[in-house]
Amino acid sequence: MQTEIGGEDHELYMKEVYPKFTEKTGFEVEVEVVPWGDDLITKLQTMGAAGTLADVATDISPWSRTFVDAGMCLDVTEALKTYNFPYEDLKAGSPIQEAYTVDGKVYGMNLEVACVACIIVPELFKKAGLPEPTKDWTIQDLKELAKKLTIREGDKVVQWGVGTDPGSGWYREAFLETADAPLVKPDNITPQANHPDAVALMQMYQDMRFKDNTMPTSADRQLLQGAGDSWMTGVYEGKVAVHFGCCGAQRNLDKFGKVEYKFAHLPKFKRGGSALAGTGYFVYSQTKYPTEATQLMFHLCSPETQKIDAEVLGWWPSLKSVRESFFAGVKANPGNYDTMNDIILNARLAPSSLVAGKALELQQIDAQRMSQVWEEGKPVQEVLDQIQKEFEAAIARKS
Amino acid sequence: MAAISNETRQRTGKTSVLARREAIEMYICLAPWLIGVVVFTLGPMLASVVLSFMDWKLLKPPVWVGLDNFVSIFTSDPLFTKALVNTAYYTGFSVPLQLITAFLVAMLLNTRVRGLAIYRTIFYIPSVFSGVAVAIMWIWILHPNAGLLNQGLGILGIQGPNWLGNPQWAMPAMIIMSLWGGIGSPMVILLAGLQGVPQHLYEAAEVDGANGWHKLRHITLPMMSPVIFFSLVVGIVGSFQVFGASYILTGGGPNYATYTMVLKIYQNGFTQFRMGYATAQAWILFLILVTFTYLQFRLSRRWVYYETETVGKR
Repeated sequence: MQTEIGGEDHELYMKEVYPKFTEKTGFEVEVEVVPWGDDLITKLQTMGAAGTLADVATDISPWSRTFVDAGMCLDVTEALKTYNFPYEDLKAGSPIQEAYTVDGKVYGMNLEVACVACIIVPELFKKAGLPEPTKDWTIQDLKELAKKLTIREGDKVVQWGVGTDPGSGWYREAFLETADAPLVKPDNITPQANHPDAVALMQMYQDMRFKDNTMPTSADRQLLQGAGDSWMTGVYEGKVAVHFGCCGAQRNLDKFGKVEYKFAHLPKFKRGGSALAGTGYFVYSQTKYPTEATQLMFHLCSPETQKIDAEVLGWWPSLKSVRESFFAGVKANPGNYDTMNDIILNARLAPSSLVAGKALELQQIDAQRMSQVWEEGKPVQEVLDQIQKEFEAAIARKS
Repeated sequence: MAAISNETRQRTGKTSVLARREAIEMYICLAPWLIGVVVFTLGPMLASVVLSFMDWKLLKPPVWVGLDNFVSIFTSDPLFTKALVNTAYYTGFSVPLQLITAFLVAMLLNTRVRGLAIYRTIFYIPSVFSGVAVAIMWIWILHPNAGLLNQGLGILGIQGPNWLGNPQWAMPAMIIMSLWGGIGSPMVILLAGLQGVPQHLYEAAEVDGANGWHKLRHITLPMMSPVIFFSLVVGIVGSFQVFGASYILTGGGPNYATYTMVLKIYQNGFTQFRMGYATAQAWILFLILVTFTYLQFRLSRRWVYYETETVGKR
């Protein structure tokens, strides 16, 4: 049997996972690692179309619907009854499994989840004489907090109040949705770039960047890069006090961190909840070994694998029981993990998961046009209206 | 000899067997190449002609749409025009700049200086580097605050722009990068051409009192014109297909400022899965290049000097 896994880092823990499957079942598994990013989606879809996809392949929640629509995924609803998989535990852990379920049928399983996290450096709050954000803080508080936490030496900023990347792509999408600015219309299908809440939020960030100078530009953020693969370096070098970003950043914080960090509760939003995405697996509909491949998929998302994944890579398990035991057992500061657990439990499925098959094109439009907001300082309303027009044109083309 | 041999062949019939065997052997030797061309070049090319008239989302069977793709490209896709203009802008600046710089470097290397081979290698090295590595290196060189280029400009009292973040400067930045990595190959070709210019022409010109400029204008440039022409044609074809620089350096941004034709074709085809539409654009690009090349050949009659042709006319 063959399996396709996305991202080189996943190969690390797979070394432990596959031998266990072979030991249990006697089936040998050939693993092909595909780099993360656009290439992964392209490769999966191309191989799906060509009939050469691996028996079990990576399933990313925003793309799951597209794969299902294309007939690439095997329906495993019935198989769930046969295998001893803690499905209810998975559903209780977060809403992520909705992404792999179409019309009540299950087409894939989730392994790990990602959502927006707020990471703070308590020491910098202490130095500024400010209390850490509590459960009831709001996004408006952030602007003022950023001013108080930004430190300048002449014209040069030596410590940024807030560092985030609301620029484009998953971050912008997740961030907008998290912060009450819906990116899809109430039909949960039509994208909506220029919702008044989105305009207001982007305007606030644009002001923080250009007027207040409390949030780094992309060029400034580049200088904060260094260790690891994330612009979180600014946080772990103590140059950024508050950061909004992907919760997975904690693995780099743990790996390279030079300062103590802490997860804070997200600001209080009207609708509440972070936008959530995740990675899992699906069984290729044209597999020659449907039973064995299904067994492998369950194994790759099992409590045992999720635990190894969390321990080796630091990703957040989607199974509630695994996450809770992992939080309790691994870290000395469980409060951190309680906060994240709370955020994951209250998260909502990221809208790209709902706008099946259009996500990447829309993200490309978004990435190109948003530079006008972040680099040129153009009026947010104007740019978002333009993006909306292009979104609609793209969707009309698709349909 | 050939006449006798043919005669003998016809008379005896034996050599025709030999000739046939030779022909078979030739085709066997050519077979891998021929199969490769048919299967991997000609076949896909012909298939792409058909695909350009289809709507193919890759995951579902293609549907015949006639000229719809071409009509959409010209009537409802402003990004096509944008990409075409960007590509023309890139070509219009990068090719002449590369050629002029490569020519100047080749002239310098054509002198008898010590360590010539080392200099030649140094100038050629950038063109053998991986395009991805070069682009990443240039991301740092072009960084608005910490980049080498802006640091250097700062020493001269000039505030450098945000090269890759500003739509006005992103394309010039890409052209600068292409200059660094793109002069190696034309430089080697031009250097070979320069070394082939007969020395006696310069000696005769010197006897007639020609100075350096006269020699360049009336000997070097005319004698080098076929080589310059070749480099120009190859350069234009190559730069119209620019992809790596815009994909890695800027992703086509900001605000589509470096969005080029091949990047658009790639995105339409491989990330938006509009294969028929992407193929139609690829054919338009091909036709543009064929037209350009044809025009260049037509215009070359006015400025390209082939010594053998002139000799033939006499």
